[in-house]
Amino acid sequence: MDAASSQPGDLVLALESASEACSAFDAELNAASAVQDAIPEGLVAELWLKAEGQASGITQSEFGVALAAIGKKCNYALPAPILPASAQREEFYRTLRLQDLALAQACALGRDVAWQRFLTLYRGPITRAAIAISKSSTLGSDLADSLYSELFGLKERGGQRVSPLASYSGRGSLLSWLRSTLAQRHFDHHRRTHRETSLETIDMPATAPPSTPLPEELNLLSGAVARTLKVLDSEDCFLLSSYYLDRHTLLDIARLLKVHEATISRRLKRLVGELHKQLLMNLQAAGLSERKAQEALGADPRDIEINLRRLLQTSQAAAFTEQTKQIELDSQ
Amino acid sequence: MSEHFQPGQHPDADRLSAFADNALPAHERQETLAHLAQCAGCRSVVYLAQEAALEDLPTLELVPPTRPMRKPWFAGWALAWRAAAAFACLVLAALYTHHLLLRGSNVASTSIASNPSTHVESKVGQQPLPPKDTARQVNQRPSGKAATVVPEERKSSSSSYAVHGTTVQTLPLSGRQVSELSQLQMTPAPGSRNGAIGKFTAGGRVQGNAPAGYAGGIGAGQGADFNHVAGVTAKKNTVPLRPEVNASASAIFTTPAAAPPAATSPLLRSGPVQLSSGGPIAIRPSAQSGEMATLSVQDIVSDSHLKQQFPQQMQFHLPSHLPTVSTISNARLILAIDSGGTLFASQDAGKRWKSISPRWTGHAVKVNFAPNASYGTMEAPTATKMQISRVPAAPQYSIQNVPQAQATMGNATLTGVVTDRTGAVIPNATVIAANAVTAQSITAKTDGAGRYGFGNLKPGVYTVTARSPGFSTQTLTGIEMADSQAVVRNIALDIGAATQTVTVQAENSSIQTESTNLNAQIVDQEAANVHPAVFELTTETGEVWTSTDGRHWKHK
Repeated sequence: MDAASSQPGDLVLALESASEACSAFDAELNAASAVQDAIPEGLVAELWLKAEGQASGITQSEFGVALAAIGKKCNYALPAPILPASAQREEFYRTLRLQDLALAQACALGRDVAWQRFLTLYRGPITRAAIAISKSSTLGSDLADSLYSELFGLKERGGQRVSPLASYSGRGSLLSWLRSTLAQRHFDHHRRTHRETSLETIDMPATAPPSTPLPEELNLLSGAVARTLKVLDSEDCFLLSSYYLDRHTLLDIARLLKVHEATISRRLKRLVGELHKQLLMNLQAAGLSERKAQEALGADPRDIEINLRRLLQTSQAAAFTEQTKQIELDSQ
Repeated sequence: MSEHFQPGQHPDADRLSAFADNALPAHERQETLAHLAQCAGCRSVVYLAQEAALEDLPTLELVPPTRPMRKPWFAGWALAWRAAAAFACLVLAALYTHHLLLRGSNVASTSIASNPSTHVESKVGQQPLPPKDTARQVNQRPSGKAATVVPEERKSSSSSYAVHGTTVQTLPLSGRQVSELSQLQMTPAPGSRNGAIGKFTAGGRVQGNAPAGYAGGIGAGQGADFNHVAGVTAKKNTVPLRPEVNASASAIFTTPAAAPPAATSPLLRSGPVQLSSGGPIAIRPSAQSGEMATLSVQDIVSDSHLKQQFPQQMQFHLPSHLPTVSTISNARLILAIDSGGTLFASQDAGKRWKSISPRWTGHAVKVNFAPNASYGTMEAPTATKMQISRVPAAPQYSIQNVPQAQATMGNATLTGVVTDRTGAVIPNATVIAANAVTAQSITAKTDGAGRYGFGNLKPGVYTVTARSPGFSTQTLTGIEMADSQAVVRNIALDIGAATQTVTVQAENSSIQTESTNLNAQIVDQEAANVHPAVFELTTETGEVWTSTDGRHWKHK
């Protein structure tokens, strides 16, 4: 779940010569890239002033290095194949939340003044967010304390203190980043503790029911549903998963997608209608008449061997909210 | 599984937070959405973070706002819109004010029919004087003292007066006439919808003798003819009249000196008086009874103006659905000319109309009573007709005056309708009002609509007796008449012999009181009964046709 653990592994080449050649090529490429990604000093100074870097205790050069790394990491908000122009790079830098970025980078560098400012600004919000996420003041305080220690860099990697704040890019707000991090940590903690209690039922696909011969129409219907859901747009899949699998409300989805609740409602309604039409078309394409296709769509869902969760998402786990509800029910 | 994330790879907190803040570029947002659609764990993280954000809304203020601040109301074009709206309102108000001033000036300086075709003619010394015994003739005071001019005054409620006939002429009055006319008084009629119906009173005696531009209303009684003569506008010199008090007189009549006094219009209270209209106006001394002048007014009003200048009740619903430009009635027959020049006749008080085939060429423009030999004499002391054409709210009643001047020295009026028990009106019923103290009685006849009226009654207790052939006599007793009080008493007659008498004690409270300043029509009943009416029709070419029955016309 952690971003650090999600990077693909290094490719190990067998041939020594090939490795040396590649290393030389990579060095040249990195040098050229470094020249290309270099930020004009004037721009850095301007952005540093705008970010109030001095108040955060970060130098101008340190801030420039951080900016360059972020730009390279995000490819300046451009799709990967596109090489950014200087104007695009400058525009990308200007869209960042420079004050939050300077503070996060300074904290990652271990500047006391930055940490004092960080605690002044975010101690309360972090605690409240942790309590809101864990829905418990005790768990929330523990979660917030553990995040502080992690952010402070108690973990060392290669002899150096590593703070997750260094991964903050400044595209979103620092507070939002902190909340997301808290949510990740809480989810990881919950997953660990949940695994300790019942390993069999968590994240394990349910055993396939004994295969019973289904009528031909139901088989066709299962195939049509699978084909229909497979070609769904990513956002439509997200809507269906959030609404039907996670049982989130329209308001929750709307807040997340920054649209109005009515918009989500309309889109869901239209999506379901289109799915119905597409299912009919797929069924008719599979050889069913229109009447039989309609009858097949009216079949009892319990008669159909369709795992919508499997079709809509890769993880077989129930939504986090569903799991927590189930745990609460079990504890009672 | 996402196409952009390797198996087991999930977006880090930085990307998820940027997604939650809607700060991701489009391609990254699509990647993240695709992953979130398939990854329940990351969806949970996103929703948990969002839930925490909702719980911590006040701290969001720490984040600088991403959206620009809303512009203040005075910035940019927002103020321009308001300024434009205010300017438009100012322009509209200025136009309206200008229109009002224009209308007031127009009405003050023109006659009732502020129309290009309206003109006032001086017929002094040219127009034959009406006979002394006609209802048209103005009553004279035997003493020859100053009479009272009681013209009608009309306020125009319409805002669409056109500017016509702005000629203002100063009356060639002698010194006394000027001084008398300068005492013109005008009273807005109380209760009037338009509030400007009133009377002029002046020391001079003015006789109305005009080929009527308008003749309207239902006849006063059996044989009692009446008409509206043309309008004359009186105004104070150099003083613009307000629209609500503009003096648009539709008739000028003389009344006895005992006519009810009218309130004084401040605008006409003093100073020289100008009568202005499209034509010349002259007031000449009377031949016999002191100061008397004749105003002859021709008044032709266009269709568009007619509806505005005449109240609704003066407009008959003719079969042509055109407005009425001229009407005349002798209570048995009503003749009306619509704006299309077609003559219509009605014998049932305007309920049914019959078109009269024209023998003349061109359109008929005016219908009137033909002046005959008995018209126009000044010696008729009892010939009194006072009619003010506009009764805004109440129906018009004809108040018939008795010849005995001593019986009508008050200001009270008594009107009503005589009907049978079914509510059907009884025309030509005899109504006698007797003063219980002085024992003086006044007799009147109901008109075609069953209406009767007594004007200038002294204050006191009256007994009203109504009788009609085929009905029993009905007597109302104890009708208290106060000064300047208008009482309405409707009388219902029972079928029976005339010898049967039903006496009803009147209640103390009046059914309806009106001001005596309201329009009244005083008709010489006797004269009306003696002389049958001869209708006279004038066409647009100037031809004059006469008829006694309204159907058969002879060229004059």
